Amino acid sequence: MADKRIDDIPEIPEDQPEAGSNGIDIPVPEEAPARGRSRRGRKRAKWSEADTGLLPESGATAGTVYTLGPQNEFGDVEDVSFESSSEDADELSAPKEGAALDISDIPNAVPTPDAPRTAGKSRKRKKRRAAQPRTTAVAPEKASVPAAEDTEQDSTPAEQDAPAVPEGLPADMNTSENADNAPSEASEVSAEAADAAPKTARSKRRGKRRPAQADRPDSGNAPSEADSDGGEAAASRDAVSSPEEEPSTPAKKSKKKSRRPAAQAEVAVGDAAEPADAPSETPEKPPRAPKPKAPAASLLLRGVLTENPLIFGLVGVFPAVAAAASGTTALAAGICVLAALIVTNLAASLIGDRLPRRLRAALMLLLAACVSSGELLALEALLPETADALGIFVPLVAVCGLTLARESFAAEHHPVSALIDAAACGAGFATALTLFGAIREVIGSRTLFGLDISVPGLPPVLVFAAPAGGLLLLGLLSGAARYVGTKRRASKRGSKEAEL
Amino acid sequence: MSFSQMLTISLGLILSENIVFSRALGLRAMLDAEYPRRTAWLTLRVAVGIVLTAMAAWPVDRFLLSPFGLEAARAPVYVLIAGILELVPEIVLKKTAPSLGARFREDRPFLLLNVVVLGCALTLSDICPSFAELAVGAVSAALGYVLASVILSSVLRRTRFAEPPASFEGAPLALVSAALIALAFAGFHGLHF
Repeated sequence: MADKRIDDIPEIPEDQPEAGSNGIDIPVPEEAPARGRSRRGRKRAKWSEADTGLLPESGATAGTVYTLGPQNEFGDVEDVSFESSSEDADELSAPKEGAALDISDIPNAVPTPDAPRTAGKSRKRKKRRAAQPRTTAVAPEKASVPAAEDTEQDSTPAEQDAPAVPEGLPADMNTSENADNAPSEASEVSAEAADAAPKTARSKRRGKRRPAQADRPDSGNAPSEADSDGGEAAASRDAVSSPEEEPSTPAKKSKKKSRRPAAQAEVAVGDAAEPADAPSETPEKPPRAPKPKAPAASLLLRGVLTENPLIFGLVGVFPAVAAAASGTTALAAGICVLAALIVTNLAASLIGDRLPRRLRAALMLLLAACVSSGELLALEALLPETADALGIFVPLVAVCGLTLARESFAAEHHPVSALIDAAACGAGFATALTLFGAIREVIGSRTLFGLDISVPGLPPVLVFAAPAGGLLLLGLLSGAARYVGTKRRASKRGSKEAEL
Repeated sequence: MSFSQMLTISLGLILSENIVFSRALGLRAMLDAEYPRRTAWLTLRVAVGIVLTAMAAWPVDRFLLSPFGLEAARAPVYVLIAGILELVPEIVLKKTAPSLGARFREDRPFLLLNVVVLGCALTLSDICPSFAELAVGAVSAALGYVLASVILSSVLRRTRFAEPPASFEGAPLALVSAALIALAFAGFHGLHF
C-alpha cells in the first residue's frame, strides 16, 4: 500500500520546484521560525512568495498569498489535513506534473474521523488517515526535509515496510506519510481507531510539536530525549537549507518522527509494538527518590568526636549549665536527650518531605515533649532523687535545640542513617555532658558521682557549681577544643606539605 | 497579693533569678546575635511569647492537668499552646500587614525551638499559685529576658573590637562574657524585701 503511494510520487527534476505526490506545490519559507508553538495559535498561514523564495510555478505571481491552514503566531503551520476533504481527495492524491493546484482552494480540514472514504488511489491512505486524522501537522521548516530511506531500520513493522522516498519530497507528505506508517496496520486491525483517534489528536499534535520546540537555539543543552530531539531538529534545519547534502541525518529524524505517532497510535488502538514514549497529557508525579545513606563510621565519628554537638556546636547550652551541675544529673539529662533524639530523628526521617519543613519541626517538637513526659515518669519511678534534682529541666532538656538541630538531617536521609546519626549525636552529647557535669562536680563540690574525693587543704570552687561557673567552664572548654582542632589541622597540613 | 510580694517576685525574676543568667534559657540564641535591630525584634517577640504562653497555660494547668494528676503532660500541652499562640498573630498579620506577617513566618522556627517560652511557663506554673502572681511573674520574666538581651548584646558588641585568640573568637568568648555577667547578676541573690 505504501509502495503504491511512493510509486505515485513523480521524480522531480532538480531545477524545478518541489512538488508533492499529490501535485501540490507547498510554498516553503526558508527560515520559518520554529519556536513557540502555542496550542491556541490558530491563524491562517499567510506568506507570500517573497517570503518563501519559491518561484510561482503554479502560475501565481509574486506576492500571491497562499492559505495553507491553521497557523500559530510564529508562522508554523500546525495542521494541514488534505484528506478530510473528500471531494478533493482523488484530485489531491493524483500527481499532476507541472500543473500545480491552487492551494487556496484546499479547505482547511478540521479533523474529521468520520470522513467518507473515497475510491481511488488514495483510498487506503484515506483509511489510515481516518484512523489518525490529525497527524499531518507540518512545520514549514520541515517542508523540504528529504524522506527517510532508513525508515526500514525502525522497529515498527509498518515502518519497516515503508519504502525509500525520493529526495526532495515535500515534507508535509513525508512527515504525514511516515507518521501514518505506524498506525496504518493498527487502523486496519481495528476500525474503532477512527473513533478513538480524535480523542488523542491533541496529544498527537503535541508529539509533533516537540521536535520543533527543540529547534530553539537554547535547547541544545537539554538532556536526554530533548537533546536527541534538538539534534534531529538541527539536522532538519540543515536539511532545509540543503536537502540533498546529507540524506542519512534526516532519515534519522524521520525514524524518530515515525516512532511518535506509533506510540500515540498505541494509545488510540492499543495494538502497537512501540513502547509508549509519547508525552502524556497529565504530567505524572516523579517517583520519590530513595533517601541517601550516609556511612555509619563517619556519622559516629562526627557525632561523638569531631563535631560534638555540645563542645563544637554549642547546642544545648541550657542542659549543660542548668542540668549538669553534677555527674549523675548530667548523665540522666544526656540519656533523656539521647532517647528523645532517637525518636524524633526516626520520625523525621520517616516523615521526610511529606510535610512542610515548619510543620515537621513543630511536630518533632511536640513529639520530643511527649517523649519527655514519658522520661519524667520513668525518672520519677526509677530515680526519684535525680528526678527531683532535675525538676522541670527534664522536659526542657528533651526539647532543647539538639532535637531540632538534627531533624533536618534526618528528614533528608534514610531512616537507618538517621538512627545512627541520632545515636551518635545523642551519645556524643551525653558523653560530653556527663564529662562536663563530672568536671563541674569535681571542681565545684569535690565529689564525683556522689563519691567524696575531697583533698585536704583544697577547698571546692563553689562558682563552678553555679550557672555562672557552668557558662565559664563551657566557654573555656569550647575554646580549648577549637584550639586543639586547629592545631591538629595545621599539623596535618604541615605533614602533607612536608611529604610533597 | 501584697505590694512587697509583687516586688519580690518581680525583682527576683528580673535580677537574681534571671531566666537567662540563672538557667541559661534562651542564651544560645543570644550568642550569635550580630544585628542589633533583628535581635531587638526577636527579643520583643520572645518576651511577648513568654507572657502570653504563661498566661494561657496557667488555667489549662490549673483546671485540666493538675486536678487529674497529669503534671507530667505539661510539656506537650504547653508546646501546643505556644504553637497556637504563635500562629494566631501570624494569621492576623498575614491579612492586615503581609510584610510583617512574612517576618513572623520567617522567625517562627526560631521561636518554636526556643526553650525560654516553655521554660518560663513551666517554672511559673510551679511557683505561682494565683493568676495575679503569675501575670506579674510572666511580665517580670519577660522584662528580665529583655534586660539580659540588651546587656549581653551590648557586651558582645564591645568584644568585636577585642583581639582574642582565634580559637576563642565568637561563641567561646561570648560564653565567657555571659558567665561574667551571670556572676554579676548572682550578686543580687542576697536581696530581700
